Formats: sequence, C-alpha cells, structure tokens
Amino acid sequence: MWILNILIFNLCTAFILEIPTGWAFGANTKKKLITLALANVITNPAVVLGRLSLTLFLQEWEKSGIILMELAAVAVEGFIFSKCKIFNRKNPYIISLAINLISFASGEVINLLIK
Amino acid sequence: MKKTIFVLCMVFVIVMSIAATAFADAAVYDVEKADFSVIVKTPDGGLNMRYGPGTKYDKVMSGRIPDNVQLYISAVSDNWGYTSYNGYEGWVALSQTVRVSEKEAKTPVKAGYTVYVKTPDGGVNMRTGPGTNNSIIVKIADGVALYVEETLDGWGHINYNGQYGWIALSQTTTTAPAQVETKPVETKPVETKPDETKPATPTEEVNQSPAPDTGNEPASVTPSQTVPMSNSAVTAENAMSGQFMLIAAVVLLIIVIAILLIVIINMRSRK
Repeated sequence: MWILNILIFNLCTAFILEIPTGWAFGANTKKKLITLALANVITNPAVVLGRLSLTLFLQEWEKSGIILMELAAVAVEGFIFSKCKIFNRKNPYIISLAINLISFASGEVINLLIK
Repeated sequence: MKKTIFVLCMVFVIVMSIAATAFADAAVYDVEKADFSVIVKTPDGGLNMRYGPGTKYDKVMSGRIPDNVQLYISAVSDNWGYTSYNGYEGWVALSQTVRVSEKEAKTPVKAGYTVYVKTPDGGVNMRTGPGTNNSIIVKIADGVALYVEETLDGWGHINYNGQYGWIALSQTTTTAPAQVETKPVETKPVETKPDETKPATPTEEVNQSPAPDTGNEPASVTPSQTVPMSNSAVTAENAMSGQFMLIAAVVLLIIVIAILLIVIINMRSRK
C-alpha cells in the first residue's frame, strides 16, 4: 500500500536525521540511541499518518493541524528524553524541539528537491 | 513500575483486539482515485457490476450494463474501476471497457427520453451548465416531466418553460409519478441516476427492456427498472477510510510496542 511506503520512508528519513543529531547533543551510548530511535517510532508514524489524513480528508485544518501534531511530537519526545535521562544536565524539551526542527526543515528541503 | 508494565500490557491487548477488528473490517485491496470515462465493450453484450474489484464479489444488480454505455470511473483497483450506473454503485472490470479520450468524455451524448423530477427536498435546480459550479436558473418542482435532449457526465440538457439548462439526472427518475405534469415528449424509457455531487455515470440511451414509443404520453417503466439506492455498495472513499483505519491500528500497535521496549530498556539500565 502506498500509505505504508510513505510511513516507512518518513521513518527511515527521521532515523537518518534525528539519531545523528541526538548523538551530537549528547546521546552517546547505545541504549540512549536505541531509546532515541524508539521515541521516533512512537511519534513519526503518528504524525505522518495525521498529516496524510488532513491532506486527504480535512484540507481546511491542514496547516494548523500539522503545527499542532509537530508540537505534540516534540512534547512526547521531550517527555521520553526527560524520563530516560537521555541528555544529561540539558533541557530535554528544548533538545527535542531542536532535533525536530532540524528534521522538519530537512524534510521540507528534501520535498523541494524532489519536486 | 510493575503496575505501569501491567497497564501497558493491557493497552497492548486492547490495541491488538482493535487491530484484529480493523483487519477484519477494512477493505484489503488497494484503491486509487481516478478520473476518466470508459465505454463498455464486451464479447457477450453486457458488463457485470460487483460490490468489490474482483469476480469473487457478488453482483450489485441482476442485469448487466449493456455495451456502448459510457461510464465514469472515479477509482481503480487492480484493473477494476469504481463507477455508478442507473443508481447502482460498484466495480466493473476495465478489461471489458475501452477508455475514452478526455475530449470525447466531455462531449455531450445525445439522449432523447423523458425523466421526472424526484428529489428529497421538493425540486431540482436547473443550471446554466453541467455542474454544481454553474449558476442556477430556476428550481423545477418534483413531478415535472422533462425531455432530456443530451447528457454529459450525469447531467441532462433540458428545456423548461422556454429556457435551456442542465439538471442532475440523479435527481430524476424515469418512472412517472402518480400525479404528473405532462409535457409533449418523444421518449423511450431510460434509467439514469448519477449523483449531483460527484460526476458519476454519463450514460448512453439504454434499452434494458424495450418499451413502445407512446408519443405524447410519458412512457411506462416496469417496477423492476426503477432505480433503488445501493446502500451496501462499497464506495471508493469508504475503502480509503478502511485502509486508513487499518494502518492507524497498526501504527498504534507499533507505538505501544515501542513504549514497552523503552520501559524495558530503561528498567535494565537502572538495575
């Protein structure tokens, strides 16, 4: 199914972008990186599916919906980072925001290049 | 911590149940939106319409769609096309059709039959063109007989009170109502009932059962030829929604598994 292909592609892209970024921010052990990857598994497919749903079924709520979903993803990942102590002595929510911004911006650039 | 794990396991079981239901209920075939017209061309004079894209699905209607009828395909799946015809909605084998060019599909098809306005809200809008984006000229009341000169994408070109316009054929019926305002018509009874909201089935004039040319009287139609609604037909949008539900259930399942894994990993690291 084409939806599954999109989800898998986006998840792989998120791994490629966010895990090295997390490592650069201080997630320097294997367990921390695995937790970071699992946090992406929790948020990325849900956000992508939500975006697809908005695009197909609720166009008028697309932009605001995307922003809300991305913020929710940042909050969820920040919560996981704080509970699992991924980034020591640093604010996990700000790091989550930074990682997601880098990932989002890279995704938009990739989309532009593809088009 | 044990309580948390127990709760997560319960959530996991619930999600598995929902996923199983979604697997059972969702359409399991890929559906893609489409926007083209085809003409029925079969070796045996008729095309079956089915509830799903495959011969394993039951037929939607007892009769077949005759050759040379033009159908509008709104979705495709594995060489089957989703269409509507005479009020029925379902899937037809595209191998038994010939695709028409966009120019041909947009050309009005000559009709020459009478229909009667039948709507849930008391009247049908006559518009300046074939589509709801065209402005309304007048609203024609239920029961009025109208002679359809030509059709295009489920719209009929008519003359009402000296004015030409287009009406959605889905808001009409070929069955004469009990009290009807008659107009001089030349007609052979033909059923057409595509939707007003989505351009469904432009139709050729079809003689499913030949009827006598009755001159000025509205032709009679046997009850079996009236156009019932096909409530149980699987729509393309329902199929898409079904796919979404299925994938959403799978994503939910994966999320729960990921949460469990995070908890397990961090429990081990604390030890």
